[in-house]
Amino acid sequence: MHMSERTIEILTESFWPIVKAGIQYTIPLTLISFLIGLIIAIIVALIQVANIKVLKQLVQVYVWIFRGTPMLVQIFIIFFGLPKMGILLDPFPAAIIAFSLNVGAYTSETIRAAILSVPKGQWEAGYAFGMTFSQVFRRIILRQAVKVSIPPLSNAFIGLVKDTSLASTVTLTEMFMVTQRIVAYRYEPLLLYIELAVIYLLLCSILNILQKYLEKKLVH
Amino acid sequence: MLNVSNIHKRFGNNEVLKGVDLHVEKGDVIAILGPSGSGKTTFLRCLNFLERADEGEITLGDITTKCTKASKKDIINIRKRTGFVFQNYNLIITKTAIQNVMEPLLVVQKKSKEEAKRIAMEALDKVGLSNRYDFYPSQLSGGQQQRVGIARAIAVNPDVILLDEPTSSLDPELVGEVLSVIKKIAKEGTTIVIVTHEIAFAKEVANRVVFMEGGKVVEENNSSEFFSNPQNKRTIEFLNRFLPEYNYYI
Repeated sequence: MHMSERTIEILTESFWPIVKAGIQYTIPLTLISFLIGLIIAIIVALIQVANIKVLKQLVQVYVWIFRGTPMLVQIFIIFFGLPKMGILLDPFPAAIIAFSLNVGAYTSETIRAAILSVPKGQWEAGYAFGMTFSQVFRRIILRQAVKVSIPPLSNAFIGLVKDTSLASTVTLTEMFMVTQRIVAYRYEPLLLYIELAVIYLLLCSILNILQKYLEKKLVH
Repeated sequence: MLNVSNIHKRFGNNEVLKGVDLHVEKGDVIAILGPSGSGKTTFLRCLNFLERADEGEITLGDITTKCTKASKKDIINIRKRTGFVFQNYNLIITKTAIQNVMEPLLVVQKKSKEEAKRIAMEALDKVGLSNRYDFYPSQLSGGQQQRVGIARAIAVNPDVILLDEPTSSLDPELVGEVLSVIKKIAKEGTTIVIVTHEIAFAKEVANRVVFMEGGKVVEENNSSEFFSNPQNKRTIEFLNRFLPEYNYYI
């Protein structure tokens, strides 16, 4: 009985600080990085689909590097490494840069695949009548590609929510870091990390519902 | 009006077109016949640069360009003045019948929405789809989709309409409705180049016939001469094989 009262006390006491860290850091970090990453990804995918010389090779190198190295290493290079070159960044922008570039590299492949999944005939439907690449892309291809890319993009988004915990390593007090600190003086790692896991799970479940809603809306 | 000379096209090491010429006058209905793999479709696609020929020259009205040197502007100008009907219809799947027909009018010809709509309705009425304006391609039969494709091509009021095997993807019972629409627009004086396997149709509607084989034109003549008095050995074989079978009543 005594134990469970303490349990409830620890859970209620830690719940708000963790959620607060989520609202303050995890969610904005996810949203901002994903948005920037998505813009990068669309540009990278279009450069590849449109087959623009030189730029194409450049973005391929970018994708190659960021997909082939651990995100943790990338964050460390940006936060701890760049100051050696005189580029000093706060943890928050450093994390944003690392996550955005990472999302950009990964989802550019998703978007490229989604664009390529639209049958060639849909492009020709526009080209044959004198439409330009950008007209065909905007008016015919984009909508079909978006529809295809929603499930894998949602996957990447949910992945990012969890990956933001890596920002704790560069002193950002997001949900994981806050939980770690509470564990440090409460000595209840099992309880507190399960609580954190449940909070992540809730967050991702909400995003899942959002994804289903978006998919349904775009089918018509 | 449309003059094409010495078109060559290679895919890798495979030379699909080996110097094809075509001359089209206003009001002509030209049928391109030939066995599968003879390069008919590739040739038609070279005319509006859906494929870029490796050699040759195209003149359409006042535009003359070498195929290899055609600029983006040349290509777009040629495409603006040609209507294309695809074997697989290639309607925009996210747009309704009328939106499909309106699309080039709005985007390429920069017409107002009202005018584009008026022209599109007229075109759809002409192909017998006045009750299908707001249907999506997925809600239409193959024959209806292809008629939307034809409406889209005539709506832009092109110098020439290019049709690439417009009935080859259709169920046999739907072929007739599409051929009768093509016949109707041919009778109205539309200039047409059609790649087809419908020999009987070609015989009835075309005024000139081009027979291709192995990437070359092996015989070309006005329609009545071509069918009554074919010269080339391959043409004769081909016609003998196909003619007894013509059974679509148009």
